[in-house]
Amino acid sequence: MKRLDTTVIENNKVLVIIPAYNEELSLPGVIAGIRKFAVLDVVVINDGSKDETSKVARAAGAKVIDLPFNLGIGGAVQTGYLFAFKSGYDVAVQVDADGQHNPEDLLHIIEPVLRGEADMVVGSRFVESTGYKTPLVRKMGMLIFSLVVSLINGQSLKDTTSGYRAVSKRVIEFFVDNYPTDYPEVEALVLLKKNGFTIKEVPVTMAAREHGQSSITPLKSVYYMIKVLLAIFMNILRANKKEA
Amino acid sequence: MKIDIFFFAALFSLGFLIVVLEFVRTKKLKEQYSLLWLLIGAVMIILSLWRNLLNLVAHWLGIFYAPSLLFMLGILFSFALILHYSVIISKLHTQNVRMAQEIGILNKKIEDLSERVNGGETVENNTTDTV
Repeated sequence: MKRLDTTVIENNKVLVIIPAYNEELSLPGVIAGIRKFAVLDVVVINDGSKDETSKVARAAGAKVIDLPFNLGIGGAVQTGYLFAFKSGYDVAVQVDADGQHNPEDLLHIIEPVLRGEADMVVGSRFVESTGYKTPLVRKMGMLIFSLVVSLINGQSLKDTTSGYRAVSKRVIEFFVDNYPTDYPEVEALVLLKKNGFTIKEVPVTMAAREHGQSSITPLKSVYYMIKVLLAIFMNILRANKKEA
Repeated sequence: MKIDIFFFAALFSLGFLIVVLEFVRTKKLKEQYSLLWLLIGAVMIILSLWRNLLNLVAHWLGIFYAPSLLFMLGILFSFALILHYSVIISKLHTQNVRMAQEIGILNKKIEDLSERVNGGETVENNTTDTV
């Protein structure tokens, strides 16, 4: 197994942000996986977990920020960006705590940001066929999001719900004051494009969840669709650089 | 003045106004949130003192049964107030989130600092009281 070419990230401070809610089972593996490939700072945002998430993350050598209560994925991830901003990191990478994201892809996501090719790089399951299989209903939803976002942004974006993404220092600063609350991934793409940031998609491989369940149940997915679409259209109506 | 329902209505409205003002005076109610209540109190007093006003307005608006105007106003006012509260709750929610985020980061910094001060002794259990 090859390690990341650390010379690329030597002079830049890169922070890996892992939002986690009750992920004590998968988290150690995720952190160890990242550590195996690159020497990067890892911060786990423990979103008010009821299990040993905080403890196992510390044991695995990650920095841990314990939120006093559950904020939801948006608020948790934003905490990571706030921390990255305050600590002066150049690049922040979001990785899911459930082990879906392959650490071997980290460099592919970070590199374009470091080279200044894009302000945000999204790890996509669909840019090339990467062997990721999804249930039909979810596939439909993802397709609709993809169409809507591609149309609004004037750029083809295939995997808009992917939480595997790296951002530049400018975006970190922007996210401190502008980050959507729940189901933030799709909305963030529209928000960034609208404020003049560039987005790039790169192919990644994704595994099925090892532990726990997806946070999205059928009923929630309906709410998800409506909420995200409403938020997207509100973003279009809103004047630039307003608070999200 | 006759002792009838209008009399009691006026008395009640006056008492209501006084209670609202008292809440503002003792700072249980913030000035900006008291304005709507003061307005409704004033309208209630006017309606109970000027006995024919409700009938007149209802007539102008083509409402056959005057008290239904009262119900309509009451419901509209309630809607406006609830909407007002939703806006306030949204703002409080945003502030609440930012506060939780700052607290999380501050706790992390305190932990790091005390670790350094205590010469590498880890300060565990700092986290358990936050859950």
